[in-house]
Amino acid sequence: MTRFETMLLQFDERMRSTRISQDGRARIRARLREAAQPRTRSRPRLWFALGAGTLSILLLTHGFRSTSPAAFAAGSSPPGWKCSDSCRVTPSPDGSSRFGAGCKIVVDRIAIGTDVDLHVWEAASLSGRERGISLHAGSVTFDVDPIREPDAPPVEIGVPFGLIEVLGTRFAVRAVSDGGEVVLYKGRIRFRHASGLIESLQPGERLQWTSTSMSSPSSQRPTPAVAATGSMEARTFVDAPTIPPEPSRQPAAETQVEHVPEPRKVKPAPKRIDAKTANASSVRLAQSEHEQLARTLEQVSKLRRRGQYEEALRLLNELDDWISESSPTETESSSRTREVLSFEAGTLHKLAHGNVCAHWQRHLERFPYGSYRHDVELKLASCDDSNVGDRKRKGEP
Amino acid sequence: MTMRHLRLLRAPEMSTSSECETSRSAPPVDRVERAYLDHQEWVFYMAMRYGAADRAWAEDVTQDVFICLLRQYQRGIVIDNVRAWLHRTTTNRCLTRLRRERFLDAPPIRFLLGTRAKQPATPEELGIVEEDLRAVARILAEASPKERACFYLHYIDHLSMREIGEMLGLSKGYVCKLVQAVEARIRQTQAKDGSE
Repeated sequence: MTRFETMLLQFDERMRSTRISQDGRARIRARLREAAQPRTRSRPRLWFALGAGTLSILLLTHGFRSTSPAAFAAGSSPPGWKCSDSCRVTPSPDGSSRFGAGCKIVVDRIAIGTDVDLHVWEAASLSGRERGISLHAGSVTFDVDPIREPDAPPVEIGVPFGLIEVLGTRFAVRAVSDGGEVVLYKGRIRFRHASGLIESLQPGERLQWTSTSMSSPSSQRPTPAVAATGSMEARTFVDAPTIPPEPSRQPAAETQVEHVPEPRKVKPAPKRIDAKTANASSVRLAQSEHEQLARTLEQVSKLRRRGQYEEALRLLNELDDWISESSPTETESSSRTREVLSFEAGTLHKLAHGNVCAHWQRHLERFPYGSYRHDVELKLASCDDSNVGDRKRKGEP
Repeated sequence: MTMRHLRLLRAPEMSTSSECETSRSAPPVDRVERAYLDHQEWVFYMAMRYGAADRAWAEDVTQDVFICLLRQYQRGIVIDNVRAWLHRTTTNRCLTRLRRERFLDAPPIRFLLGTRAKQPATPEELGIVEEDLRAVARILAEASPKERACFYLHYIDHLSMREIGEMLGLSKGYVCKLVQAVEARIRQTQAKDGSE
């Protein structure tokens, strides 16, 4: 150890003789001066604490309250159903529950196999049933999550004198004592009449039924032009004001088209699709056209939301060409579809380039008696005003 | 030269200092400035020996210690013996820092953080050319932070086991065990060198 102690002393002397570098000394002094200044770190901490506290209070008061099971009237709503505390639930003598207008209800997966969101527009009587819900009366929008299991049976929405089979979709139902109507927003549903007759609905279609229509059900189907406008279905059904419009999930692109001056009435074109005749090739062809249009317009909406206006315009032009090829002879429905597409293209042009006067001029020449005539004329008038203003600024007569 | 001789040669450095008494009424910044001018080299030296002669590491510790002193003064805490306070604070600060670095250098933590193992500075990098001193540096670098601290405090600062235990918050027996572990390693190295 003695030799090591000597070496240790030498080693220690070596370190003792080492001095702080000039840079290090200057850095430490500067840091000390900085630390001597009044501290301001407490303020961010204070703000952080205040923010966290506010957030916690908001979560406690709003976040949990809306989903709190305590919000339910005990014993009045079916088991597995959750609704907001503003919802008034009263038990009915027939065993169902009566929900007040504005109720938002969540039926969890355990109860019927998939998640279903309900929005009650008019006071509705609802009850649970095996793999589904029964709507006895009232107006309700159903939002059913897609069923993942391939062999799982569809969710069933029982209505007076009928049954709706659902495979993941969004639709609104209005039921009265002797019938009702259903509007499909998205997905696909099948309506099974009490007589066993089955009708399939496409997005944008509406079906009315009555107690007496068991033998001769009538359904109203929009024209291809209406179907091509994507989510315009709720608006086009102006003769059915009791069905609420599609909730505010409509994208911006679709709300652009809401300036339709004169909503067109849907021509009643009863189309009876029996289970035996549902596979008819003509029906399949029409359905494929509608699906193609709906798909393309959905893509256009997505592109518009992303701000890819040029790409959306290109898709609209392709769609226009496709309609021209598929129906060489100009029919009323194809003309309407093209008008809607042209109007849509005009709004996209405006977003993309700003100046669309030439497009509106062409639109007016193509569809001089179209539904959008009034709107387009107004747009052209504003174009003329701006052109006059431009000329005045440039000093031209 | 025995340990007793070493102790006689090196008088204890933790004598009572009177600089604080004279400037107790001065503002905290001035008092820290004074303490910094008086003790910066000593604090740096202590950090150097705990940090295995890593100069940048020792400068960082020196800075931390004096900032800590400033905070104490700003809080109005009275420090009677600044040198003793600096000795204790530097030792504990070095131990904390070494412990943290050792934790961060553990293979699972390095794997999670995606860092490489920190290689200790070689004696050549530290400018130690003598073979004997290299052996000392190697043995001390291999010792754990606690072992190194206890060994230095015992053999260089001439503190008793009880004093070291009080300073580091360890029991006297554990301090003795740590010092003996380093001693055993030294003996092992010497025996190996003698056989060669």
